[in-house]
Amino acid sequence: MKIAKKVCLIGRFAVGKTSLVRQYIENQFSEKYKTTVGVSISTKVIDIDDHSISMILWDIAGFEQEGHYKHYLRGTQGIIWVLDGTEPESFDIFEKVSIPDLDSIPAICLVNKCDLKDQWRLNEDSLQKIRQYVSTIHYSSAKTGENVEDSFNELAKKLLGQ
Amino acid sequence: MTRERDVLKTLLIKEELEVLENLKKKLLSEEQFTEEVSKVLANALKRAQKKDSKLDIVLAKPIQDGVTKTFSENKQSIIDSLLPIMGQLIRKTVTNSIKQFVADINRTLELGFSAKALKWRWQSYKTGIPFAEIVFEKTIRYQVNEIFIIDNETGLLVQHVGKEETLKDKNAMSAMLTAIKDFVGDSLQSTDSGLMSADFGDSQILIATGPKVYLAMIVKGSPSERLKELNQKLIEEIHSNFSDSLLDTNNFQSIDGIEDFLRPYLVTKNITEEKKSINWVPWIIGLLLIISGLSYLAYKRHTEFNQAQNIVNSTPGLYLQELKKSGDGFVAKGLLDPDADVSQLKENNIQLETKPFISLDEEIIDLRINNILKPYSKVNYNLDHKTLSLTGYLPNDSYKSIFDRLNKVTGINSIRNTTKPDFSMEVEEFLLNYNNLEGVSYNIEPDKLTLNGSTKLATHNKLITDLKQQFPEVTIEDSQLDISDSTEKIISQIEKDSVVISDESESHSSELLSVIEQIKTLINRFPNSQITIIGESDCQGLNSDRFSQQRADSIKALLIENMIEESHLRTSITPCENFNNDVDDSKKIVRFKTYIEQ
Repeated sequence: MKIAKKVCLIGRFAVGKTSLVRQYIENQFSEKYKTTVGVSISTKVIDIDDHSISMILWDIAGFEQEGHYKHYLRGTQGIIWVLDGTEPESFDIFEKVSIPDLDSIPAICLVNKCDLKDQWRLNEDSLQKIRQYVSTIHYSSAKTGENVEDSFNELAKKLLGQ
Repeated sequence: MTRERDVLKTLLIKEELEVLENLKKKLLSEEQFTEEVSKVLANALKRAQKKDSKLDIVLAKPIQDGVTKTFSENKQSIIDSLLPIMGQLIRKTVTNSIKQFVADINRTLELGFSAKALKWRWQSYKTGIPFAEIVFEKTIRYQVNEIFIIDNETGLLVQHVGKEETLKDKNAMSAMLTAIKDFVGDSLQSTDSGLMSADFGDSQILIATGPKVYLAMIVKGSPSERLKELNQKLIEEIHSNFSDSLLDTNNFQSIDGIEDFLRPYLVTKNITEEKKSINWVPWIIGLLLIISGLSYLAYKRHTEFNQAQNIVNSTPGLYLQELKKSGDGFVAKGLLDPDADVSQLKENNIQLETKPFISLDEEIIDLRINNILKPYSKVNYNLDHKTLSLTGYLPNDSYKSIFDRLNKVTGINSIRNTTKPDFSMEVEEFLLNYNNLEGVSYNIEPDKLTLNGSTKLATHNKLITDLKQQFPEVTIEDSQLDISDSTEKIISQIEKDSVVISDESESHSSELLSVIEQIKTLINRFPNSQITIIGESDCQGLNSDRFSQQRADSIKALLIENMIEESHLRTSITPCENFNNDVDDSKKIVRFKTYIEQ
């Protein structure tokens, strides 16, 4: 069975959303759209059991300004929250982005740049705070590819309701 | 026992009992129960709807009733709410219609007079397909390569038809297109359908948006407005036919029948580059104009020539040998009878270069006869097969000379003459010069003279004698001419009146003197005439007859005294038959009786 799901990557500027996608996917529209239209679309087809799920990844820019991203989130079926482990301000993204029915949308959180553990600023309080919004948290590195594919695949499974 | 059991229950399940008590309170309290239900109602409805269609069926009726009630009770507020939407809808419809209309006009104007259009009109005539339909079909300048049906909200591809190999990733394409569409809509703050089309290279993406999904058609070439209208209809039909399947995103790309539904809308014709052909239309039109102009000039020239030729040919006495155009007019060469009337030729700017000849055309013969007889209004003629028939009158004095001239006319074989000489001119001249015509009037006809008025017998007799001597052929009618001194009149005058003879008077009445003059005239005109003088009386007394005789005698003596010979006179009386005693002078008269011996 073939299905497609819309997945939005949400995170502040420079947390590594685009790098994660680039690390993960095969087909990607030119990233220039991200600066022009405000979103870059990529797709990734994953076969899970007898399902073929096509993840349509919406790499959205401009979360610093609400009006710029709101309509892109419309109808999203999966969310990848992307945080920068070295940048505490990136942890506030949950409060700033408002999504209707957030609880019912499968989501994961990637705390990126785990390859820079020496600059790591993530502490337990922050994790507690994050867990209020998303239960699945992975540390990832777009640079090394650590946890990238697995995390995306995990979200795919969630999208299939597994 | 019961108390012990309750104590035991309290000891064992005190907390659970409290929970149950609280739940009971919540269920029994309407406010609390409502509060609790409101927390889960949205999710419960959502799950129920996802689970199966029972909720839709259950809710359909109350929602329908509610909407109906709302519409009936709050018409104005509904109208206020719908007005902005309806306005936009109407504007959009009108705009589309106008665009389509303009495109149609352009196309029709471009094709109106081309050979291709004529060919298509012929095809339309033969097949019965409306011309507009054929034009539309034949003038397609685009190719529909791909059709996407995309979910408005998620940007997920619902269905795609077309040449897949041309597209790298249709899912990404759908999402990106949705993103761009949303971006444009958001940037322009458009409240309607947003992006309608986008150009790229020689292709175009046409977008038609519906409530749930939108259609994106990738078209190569220049699509018509009609195609955009078709797309709008298409998206409406998709919503109508596949509304249930569109609700679940898991069904996307596997909705039964939607691919087959969409595929016919792919225009699979290849657009072939049309050879740049020469547009012959202006040349043909130009050539036709030149041919028309030359034809018109030739026609005009031919018409003028024919007209001139007809005029020449209809001129009696002109035998045409050649007619040539000369400047603004014509020159006719040939033979011309001197009697021919050529005035019409000159009026029509036709010059003559002719030699004289004698024409035997009946018209010319007729002309010649007419020239001779024109001065004589009382004659009629008819020329038939060269035989001249003459009726009426010809002047007596030129009768012979006229016939001499007629006999010399070329072309007359014989003359049937039933004319009579006309003496009227001569008679009139005669009467004008005649002396002593006082009191006489006359009416002159060619061979008859009618006399009227009054004249004396002697004058009358002389006039009649002179006329008969001068014009023996002329009938003289004088019955209407009064002879003022005719014999009959004289006799009538004499015998008409009785003359009263008064015994006492010696003088004679004027009547008696008049009678004496008449008697003298009569005796003079008829020397053998006898006059009887008859005496009468009033028969009063026995001597009356004697007195009557005396009266006759006395008048006889008087006539003799007036120079009337006695041999012409006799006397007589009217004897009394009965006598009476009444004296009546009016009966004492004499009367006269004449007798003429011729």
